[in-house]
Amino acid sequence: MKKYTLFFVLLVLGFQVKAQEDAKVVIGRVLDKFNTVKDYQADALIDTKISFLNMLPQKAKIFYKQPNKFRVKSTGIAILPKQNFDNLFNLLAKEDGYQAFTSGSEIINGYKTMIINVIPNADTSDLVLAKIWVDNARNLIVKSQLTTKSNGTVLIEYEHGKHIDTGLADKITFTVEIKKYKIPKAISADINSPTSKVPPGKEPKTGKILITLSNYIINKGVPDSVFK
Amino acid sequence: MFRLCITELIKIAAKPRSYIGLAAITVIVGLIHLAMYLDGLNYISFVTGPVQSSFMLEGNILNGNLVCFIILQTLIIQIPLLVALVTGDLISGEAAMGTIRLLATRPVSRDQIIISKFLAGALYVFLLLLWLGILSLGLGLLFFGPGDLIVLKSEQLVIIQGDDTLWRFFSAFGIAFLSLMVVASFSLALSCFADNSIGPIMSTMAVILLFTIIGTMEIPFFDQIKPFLFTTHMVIWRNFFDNPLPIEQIRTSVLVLTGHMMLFLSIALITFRRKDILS
Repeated sequence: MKKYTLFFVLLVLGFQVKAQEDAKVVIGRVLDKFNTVKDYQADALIDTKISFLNMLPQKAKIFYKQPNKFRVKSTGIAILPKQNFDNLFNLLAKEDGYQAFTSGSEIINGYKTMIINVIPNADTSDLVLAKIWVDNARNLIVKSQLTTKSNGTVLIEYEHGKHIDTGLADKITFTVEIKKYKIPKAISADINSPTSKVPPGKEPKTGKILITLSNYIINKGVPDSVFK
Repeated sequence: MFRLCITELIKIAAKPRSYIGLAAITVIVGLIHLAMYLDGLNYISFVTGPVQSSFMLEGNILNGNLVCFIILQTLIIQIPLLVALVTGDLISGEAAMGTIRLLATRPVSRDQIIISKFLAGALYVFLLLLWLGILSLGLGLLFFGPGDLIVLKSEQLVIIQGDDTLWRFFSAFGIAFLSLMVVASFSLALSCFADNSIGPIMSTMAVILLFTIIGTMEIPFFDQIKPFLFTTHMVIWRNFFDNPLPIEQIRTSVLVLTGHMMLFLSIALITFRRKDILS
């Protein structure tokens, strides 16, 4: 009996190690593809669809430079999720900084994806768990779900087009958890506006931020001064 | 009539109290500019805190448009009181000094006297708002630069693109002018009943305060009264910073304010026409 138990435990451990190795190999291939991009800049159109925000889509310029420099420049006011585009890649770039396990597969937009759970090793990290959907055939992350201590869960969906060879997305949709926005009327001096008729508990719990990226300029150099 | 208006303007200009409003606006706007310059980002982060806890706000948030908007929403309740200081004195002040009898003996009708005082009051209100506009928007853009405007509402943030704000500010000042003209005509009407300035000025202030308090309190009984109070419609200038523009609401408020102004002016005309001048 003891022999069978030992065999079973070793078998399970073996599968877990194999699963972890597989997951890291898949992530490594995705990163290899992304690492061909040393820097980029792109035009962005940020469309915010959040119940308590009334604004038109905003134009912005996005800059990235390896290893982890990222900047959004906008002439007007742009609203972005705190979990930025590069947060996930920053985590995945440090191979010994996380544990990764495969946990199934799913078909997304006709492509078979592998679901990988990524757990950061550092317990001080704001990110608690990342779940990523990797298109194994094209070495692309097509969806990710980041669970954070401070801002709940953020779902990020990537749509790829022209720059599929570098892994850069043409459209990114962030679905974020939102809290009710309310400030005293005395501060807003908004004395005559009616109070919301939405019954408590019926307010929208999530909002979306859609970022459409275009005019990528890849590996042409981005000066460090941009990020200051 | 034109000469009568000029005479009334000279009378307003000759009174020291006419400059209280301009001085008060200068001091208040100056202080708000200074406070925003020194600590504006803290103020902004306080009101946008619920948003910034989940999102990053990129761009120049503290800009001239926002500072002007904050000044307008701070001052719009106080400015009627400054207007009443001058317009509440137009008839009663002359009655107190005894010059109203002299004025009434001139070869002009009593209606012309009231109309000329009303027009002079309108020009004073216009100058007051022009000064407010120069200080708040002009200096605001000069010190803080242009940018998108975050409109603070109790349950929503409206973000208006920078190049879409100027016409909204002009329209808001237009509505503010109409609102202040309601106050001017109201205090002018009260002024016709009194023989000293304190009564009409204090009564105007008291009515504005009372109506504003009723407007602020969220009690169902008051909700039925609010649409009939002119102070409810005086804050309609804010609606020019909504997206989409609530045209119907703005039109209704403009009609209500114009109706109030005409009503108070008519009361002033009728009262002064029948007034037995004994002073």
